[in-house]
Amino acid sequence: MGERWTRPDRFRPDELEENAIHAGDQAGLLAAARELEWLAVTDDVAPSAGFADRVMAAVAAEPTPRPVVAAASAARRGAIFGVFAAFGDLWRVAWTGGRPMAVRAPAMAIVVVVLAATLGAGALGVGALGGLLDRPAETAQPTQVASPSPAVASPSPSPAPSVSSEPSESPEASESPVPSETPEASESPEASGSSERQATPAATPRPTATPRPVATPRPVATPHPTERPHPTETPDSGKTPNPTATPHD
Amino acid sequence: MDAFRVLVERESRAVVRSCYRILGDLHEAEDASQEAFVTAYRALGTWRGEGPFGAWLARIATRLAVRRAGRRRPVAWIDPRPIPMDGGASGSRDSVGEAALTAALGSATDPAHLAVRAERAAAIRTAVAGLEEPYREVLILRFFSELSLNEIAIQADRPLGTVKTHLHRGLQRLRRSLEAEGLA
Repeated sequence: MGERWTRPDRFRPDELEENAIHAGDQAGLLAAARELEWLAVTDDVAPSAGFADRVMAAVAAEPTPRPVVAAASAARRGAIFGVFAAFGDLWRVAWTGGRPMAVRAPAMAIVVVVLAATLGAGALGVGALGGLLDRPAETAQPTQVASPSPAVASPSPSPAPSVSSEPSESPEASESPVPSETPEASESPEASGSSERQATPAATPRPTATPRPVATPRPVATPHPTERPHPTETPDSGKTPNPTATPHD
Repeated sequence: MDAFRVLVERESRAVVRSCYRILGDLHEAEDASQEAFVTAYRALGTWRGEGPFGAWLARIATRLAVRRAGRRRPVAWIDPRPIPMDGGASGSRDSVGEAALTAALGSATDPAHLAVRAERAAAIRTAVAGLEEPYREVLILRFFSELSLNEIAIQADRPLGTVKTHLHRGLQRLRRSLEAEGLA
């Protein structure tokens, strides 16, 4: 707390030597500075009598500044920011000079205690975390290994090879499933030609579904049934081959 | 407490003067100053001991005064007190702004001059209060609290070059604001 500082001189543009000032700018800066200096000259006042007494009365009504108490009260209130601010004040009081030892000693003690508690809690936390990580690491290994392995395997077949293999398998199975998929003939309305002729008798007489297992070998002889006279001739609808004609009937 | 009383007696004039230059009212300035002293007493533990105690106190006081000024409606006070001609900024006067200074101070007792002076002071206060931070703070600390740029740099915890830049730009902005008010 040194002596009151000396008043600075009137403003001069060379106070701003690090900032390039143009000639026109300089006059403007000086004019603004002179306005402020004029105000400072005209507003040179002194406090009224008894001002210091009033200030001291107000100060006496204030509690003594005790950063330790402030930190404790902030902790009691649960104000986290207050605790941090109080700890910062304690740190400054403890480690910066210019204060009596009676003020610094409790602040140092609190800082040391808080630091020790923080470090201890941190060490305990790290130890506990390490213990927790060690235990499940052995038991959880299979689960962890199992979970990524399908995750890794699933994307790999999906991109390329599985698609290529599926069509290769489909023709192989097409021979066996073709009979089983003979109901596709019911979907034959989409198709045209011989399948339409098969569909017309199959659609009109419902029992045609029963001979289907018998007809499983027919796919091999698909051209023959079309030439067969029995199903086609019975309805005599050879002249009206379209299934659309059957509803008209 | 006795040591703090010494500080109060030593710094009260400068603190009240700084607040008065911001607020333009002695009673308000004393209230702000008293609040600043109490705040400083409460925060004595946070004083870093860098720079003079008065500079630290001035920063607290000017902040409180600016806050007070922002809460109230702008008022142009007419102060009938005689004007001290040998103020702190005594010395050789530059020609720039001298005419305005002489015109404003020309007759300390003439009501017309007093009214003009009060209006001019209120306009300057309003222009300063309308500046953005940190320009306002630097201008107030430099011209109203009469701190050196080094002291401002220490108290504001900014590099000296930054403070100079803020002073430069603050004066430029104040100039533009005063021109808009027709004062410059």
